[in-house]
Amino acid sequence: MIIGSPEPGTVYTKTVTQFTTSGTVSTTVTNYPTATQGTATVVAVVPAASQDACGNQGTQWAFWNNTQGTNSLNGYTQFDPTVYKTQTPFYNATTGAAGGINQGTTSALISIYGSPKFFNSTFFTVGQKVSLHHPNGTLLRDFPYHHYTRLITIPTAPARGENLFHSCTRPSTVSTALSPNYLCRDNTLHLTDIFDRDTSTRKRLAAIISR
Amino acid sequence: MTGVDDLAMIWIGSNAQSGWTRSNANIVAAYTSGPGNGTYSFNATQGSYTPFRIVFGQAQGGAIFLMSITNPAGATVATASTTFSQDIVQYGCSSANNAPAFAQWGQET
Repeated sequence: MIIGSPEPGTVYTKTVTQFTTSGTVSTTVTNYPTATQGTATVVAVVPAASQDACGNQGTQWAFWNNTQGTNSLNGYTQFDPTVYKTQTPFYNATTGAAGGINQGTTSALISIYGSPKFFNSTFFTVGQKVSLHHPNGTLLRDFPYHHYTRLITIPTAPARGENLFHSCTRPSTVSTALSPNYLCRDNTLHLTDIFDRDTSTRKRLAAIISR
Repeated sequence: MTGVDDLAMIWIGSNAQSGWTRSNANIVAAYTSGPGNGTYSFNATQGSYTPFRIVFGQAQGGAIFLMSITNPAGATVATASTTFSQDIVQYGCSSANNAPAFAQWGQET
């Protein structure tokens, strides 16, 4: 079974022969599987390339004084956020957090998001802006196939020569209807390697498998 | 978004980059007779980026808004206590990511 050279962010589909093995999957290759009955469709989902290599992590945030008056408990309707489009903030920084302030009534100065600056706890505005990346393979969803459909994800692109790795997020109560060493009975995330018998190598796959 | 005191607005998508106004916010939550709340769901393509903006306005009294972003599996991907992550970024590393940097503070449109 050859799916091809995996490219990050690419989905591969291939109908393959299912395999079973006589032993359990270990961290080293001790035997190669023997083909048995049936076929399965494997959709390999290789994660997008890591996005952490250019110093872009974090949420940008900024702090301004708020001169738009009190909240008369009417929805603070006079507050216009566009005022801050062209106002230079009093302070700005980057934080790993996205959203959230929890500061009760106090007359003390406060610090937010680990800032070394302290601010009045009243009449201020905070802005945050961030790009949310949606990584491949983390969106567990119903797949409109047979009930043996499984979603399998991997953290990195496959590489030849890696050790075997198979896990379930719950103890491996395997399905007997499919290749027992590769599938778990639950619908949670899985990791697995699949052998390429033509080249006697194995590929770590993020896969949705259905009969 | 929960517990909002006094006002929080969220924009998701292109309006978060530019064009954001109170009237086109995806969530507007304000303290009235009690703390404000709001929820918004959106679809996202795997591997893509979505611009996201919050403006929080604090007047008198407590300063509170609690926000979390949850994926379809129920896992929380961003909260106030989120640590730095490769999925919470200021811009994409490549122009191919279609996730340009935001305009600088004070120079937005």
